[in-house]
Parts: sequence; C-alpha cells; structure tokens
Amino acid sequence: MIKDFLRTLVQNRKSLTGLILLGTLIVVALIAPLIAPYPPKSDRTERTILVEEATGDPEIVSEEYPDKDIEKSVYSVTTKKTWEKTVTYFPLRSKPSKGHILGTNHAGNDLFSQLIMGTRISVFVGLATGLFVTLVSLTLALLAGYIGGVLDDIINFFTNVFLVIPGLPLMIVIGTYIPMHGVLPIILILAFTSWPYPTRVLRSQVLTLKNRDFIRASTMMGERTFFVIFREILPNMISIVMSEFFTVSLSAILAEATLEFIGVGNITVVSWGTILYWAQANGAILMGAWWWFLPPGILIALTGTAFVLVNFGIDEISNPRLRKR
Amino acid sequence: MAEKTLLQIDHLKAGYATKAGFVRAVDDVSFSLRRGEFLGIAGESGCGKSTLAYAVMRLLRDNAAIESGRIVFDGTDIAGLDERAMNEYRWTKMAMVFQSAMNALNPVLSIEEQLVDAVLAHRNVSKSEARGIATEMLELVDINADRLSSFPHQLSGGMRQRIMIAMALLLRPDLLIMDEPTTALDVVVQRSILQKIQELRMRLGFSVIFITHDLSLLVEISDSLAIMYAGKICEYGPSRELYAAPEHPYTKGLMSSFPTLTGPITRMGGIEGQAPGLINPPQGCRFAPRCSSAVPLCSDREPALVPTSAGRLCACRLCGGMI
Repeated sequence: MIKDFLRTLVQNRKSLTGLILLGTLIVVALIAPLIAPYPPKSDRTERTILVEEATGDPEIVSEEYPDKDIEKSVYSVTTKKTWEKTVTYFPLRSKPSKGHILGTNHAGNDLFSQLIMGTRISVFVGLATGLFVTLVSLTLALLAGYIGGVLDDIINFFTNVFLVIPGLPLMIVIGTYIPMHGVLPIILILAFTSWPYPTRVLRSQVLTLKNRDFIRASTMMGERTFFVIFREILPNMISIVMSEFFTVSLSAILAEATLEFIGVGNITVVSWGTILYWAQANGAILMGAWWWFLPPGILIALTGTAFVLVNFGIDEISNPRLRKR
Repeated sequence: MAEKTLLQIDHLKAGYATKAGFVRAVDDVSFSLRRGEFLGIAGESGCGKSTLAYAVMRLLRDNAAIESGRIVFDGTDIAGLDERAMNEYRWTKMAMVFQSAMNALNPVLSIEEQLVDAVLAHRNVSKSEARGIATEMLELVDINADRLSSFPHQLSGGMRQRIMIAMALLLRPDLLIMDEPTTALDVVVQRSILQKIQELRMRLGFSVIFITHDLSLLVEISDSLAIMYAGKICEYGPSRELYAAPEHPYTKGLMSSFPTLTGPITRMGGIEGQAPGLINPPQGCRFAPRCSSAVPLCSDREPALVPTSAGRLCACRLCGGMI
C-alpha cells in the first residue's frame, strides 16, 4: 500500500517535480545553519589572527637535590602572544555583492542567510499547522458526517459560526493579545482560524461517500463502523484530505507571512514574513531593493507550487482510473 | 433436493414513512421458499419488490420499516431480531446481490481486498485463509485468480456482477437474494449470469429469490414465480404452469407485453395506465382501475389470494377470490 503510494508519486512527472521542490525546501530547512554563510542576525564578521608569538628565556625558579644521584629543578618560561582582531561591519542596505549575494538589510544582516534560516521557520510553521488542522478537521468531519445526528448538529453549528468570522482580523486580534514567544502561538492561532473550511469540505465528502452503494453494501455485509470509516471511506478521501493538507499548509505559510508582515507576529524571529516586514518598514520597495523583498515572495510562491504539484500525484492514488498501466 | 421450508413469510407489511403519509410498499405478503428453490418475483417498478427483499434481509434503513408480519428463516422469526443477532444471519446465512454492481464495489480497493474484507468481517480466519476462500469463490464464477489484484474499473460490467455474486456466496449462505442483478447488463451477459447462478445453485444447493421487472428472464430459470402488483402478490405458482396459463389479468397483461421469438408477429397488448400510488391505494382490487375484465364489484371488495389448482394462488374475482 505505502509502496504503491510512493511509486505512484514518483512515476507522475508533475508530482515528482513537486516532491523534488518540496524535498529541497525541507532539506534546506533542516540543514539551514550549514548553508547560511553568516548567522542571520549578525551585522559583522570578526576575524582574529595570531600575529606574533615570542618565547622568553627560561628562568630557574628552584633547584633541589633529594638524593646524591638526583637533581631536580623547576623552570618558568614566559610566552607572549600578539593577536590581531579585525571586525568588519557589513554595509547597511547594500546591493548584492560577492560577500552578500542578496545584499544586506537596514541593520546590516546578510539577507541570503536570513532567507535560508527563514525557510526553517516558514516551512515548519506551514507543515505543522497543515498536519494539525488536517487531523482535527478530518476527525470532526468523520464524526459529523458518518455518525451524524446531534453530534453533526453541534459540529456543524461551530463550523458555521467560525466560517462567518473573517479569519485575518480574528488572527490579528488574537495575535495582538497573546504574548509571542517562539512560533508555537502562531501555529495555534493559524490552526484556530483555519479548521472550519476543511472540516466543511471533508464532511460533505463523507456524507456523499456514506450514501454510495459500495459503502451501503459494506455496512450491509456487517462490517464494523470503524472498519467502514477507515478502510472503505478514508481511502476514497485521500486525495481530498491531502489537498486540504496542502491548502492549509500553504495558507498557513501565507498567513504566517501576513501576520509577521503587519508586525503582529514575533518580529525577533527570522522568517520569510519578518524579512518582508523589515523590507516594508525600511522602504525597500521605494528604493527598488528587489533583492530584499523579491526572494521571500518567490520562495512562498515556489512552496505553493510544490504543494500543488504533489497533489496531482495524490489524485492518482485515490483515483486508480488516472493511473497509467 | 429436500422439501424443507427455508423461508416462510407471513402477512409481511413494510414501507416508508414520508411526509405525505406511510407508503406501504409491501402489503400483507405471504409466501414460502423451500431449500434449493428458485423463486422469481416479478412486477413493474415501484410495486414493492426491492422493499420486500430488503425487508427479508432486515436492511430497511432511515424512514423504512417493517410494520408487522413474520419472517421465519430456518425456524427462527427474524422480523424482530436486534441488529447484533441479525448480523449472525446476514451474509453468513442469507446474502444479497445488489442492484448496481457498477457501484457496489469500492473503487479504490482491489477485488482481493474487498473479498478478503468480506470474509474477515464474519469469519475468524487468517488473511491467507481468507484469500484462499476468495480465490476459490472467484474461480467458481469463472474469473481467473490473477484478476484479484484488479480494481473495479478495470473489469467489465458482467465481471463486476459475477464478483458481486462471488462476494455474496463467499460464506456459503443458504439464501441468495438477487435484486435486479442483471438490469444494467446486455442480454447476452444477462443470460450467462443466469446460467452461472443456476449452475452454482445446483452445486452449492442454496435457495434464490430473484427479483426483476423482466418476466421473460424468469420464466425458464425459476421454479416458482410470484407476480407482485402495488405491494401485493397477485399470482403465485410454478413458473412453467404460470407461464403457460396465467390466471390473473395482470399476469396476462405482463405476458402479452413481451414478444415471442418463434410465434407469429402480433401487436403486443401491454397494460393501459400506470401503477397506483401506495399512500392511498385504490379501494377493492388494486388492479381494477386498469383491468379490462373489471366489474363494479372489483372496486368495492378486495380479492383474497386463494388456491386455484395444485400449488397455484391467484387474487382475482375470476379465480374465485371474492367468494
């Protein structure tokens, strides 16, 4: 099953491209400190070299003769080392150059290093939120759709309420009120505001599947409820579940960038969003400093493209008709 | 074959609760089925054939329910059994082939997975044993075992229907209910499926209730025939006799609505009008408004299903049902 899954993904050219893109992003995120030429928040390099090392003459501190055949003495030698420390401050708001391939920002931080380290935060926030929201909404959808009744009414009521509340303002309001330490609060805010839509979509899918002949047939055959849900219904939903996962992940990356961009998030964190925030705050667009605001934008778009491409392959898995034999 | 009764249905009433009222789709139906017997139930759309089948399987859902009556299967009245007890019967002792084989197979699971799942849901056997049962059954319906890994969309309609039959017979049930199993198939495939069922029945000795609106299919294959009209059985009897000499005007109408292949070409009769709604069925004989032999009395009194000759029953004034 899992083998088939992977083979299908790799055989499809589109999803293979997507997987390569996504894989690259994830690898970059994982080994970011190794790739980034400078620490993302430093504005200088310090280089210290040893200029001179002089050893003085030995001085006898003490001498003793414990026995007639033994002579014991203690020496002391003074060594003088001379170091030279060069602190190179990065230029502020510099254009791309050999030392800084994407230039530097207003504080003199290397933008390329920030971009690489930012991948870590952005991709992590995206995937973590996507996973979390998908699990929650899938559970709610299966409960509401398959079991139905009062449970469906309750879940549906809250879904409807949350669908009516506009997401971005709610995110901003919550973001302003809760203290921001690290990225966990951001993930929670994003999850809190983005579960209703996938829940609604997945629930309706469960509802249509529940009334298909083959699901009815398997309940008639006496298969247990959990078996029907996980064996019969879920495989038919893989493509829609995965597409919801990628949609949520992508919108989480966008929303995270949005929150950081407008300054609600944690601006001490280095992410694609905060790069854009500082670019905006320092008039990068006015100055035409494309190397500052364009790369994060391109990476956000590229991540989205990767998600969509992988989705094509996942479509084939849940719909065997699309597979080439 | 043993002359023992497998299924006995007494005064079964079942139907659907709708906003407009209770639709009694099966109204006071009684019949019995011997072990190994092939019973055909025919009638036009909406006369309650499928409701009857689902009621016997106790698979009426949502707004449908059995109102009253007894369904005695192998000595036990299953009409009042709870779901847990019913699961002991369903699929292991009585199985069903559904109307649309096209849609009754899960599109994302292979044939093998679905057959094995069906076995494992009822039998406490290992996966490889279940696979063995599945393979054996698939070969019985003439499908090569290398088809096990196929997905439903890779198979033809006839093959899918045969797989549904294999799935129904997996646990060797005593009773197989087939609800219009050949409706979506062409005549050649229909015939081969019917022959297959006949052959399997001889070999495995199960009883069949075969439901169809296509009377011509049933005549040569079934032992007995029941003709349903508007929720009631209007004629019942051994199929050859019933075919040779129909007694009820409705049966006569049905018989004259399909052409003979060998006889002279004549204009087909058919039956005027439409089947009545079942919320407020007509007073008296339900067929009276469309019947060419109806007299005013027919609309007043309901004819009873009475025996006419050996093993035959008919509900009509002409057969003595009013006396």
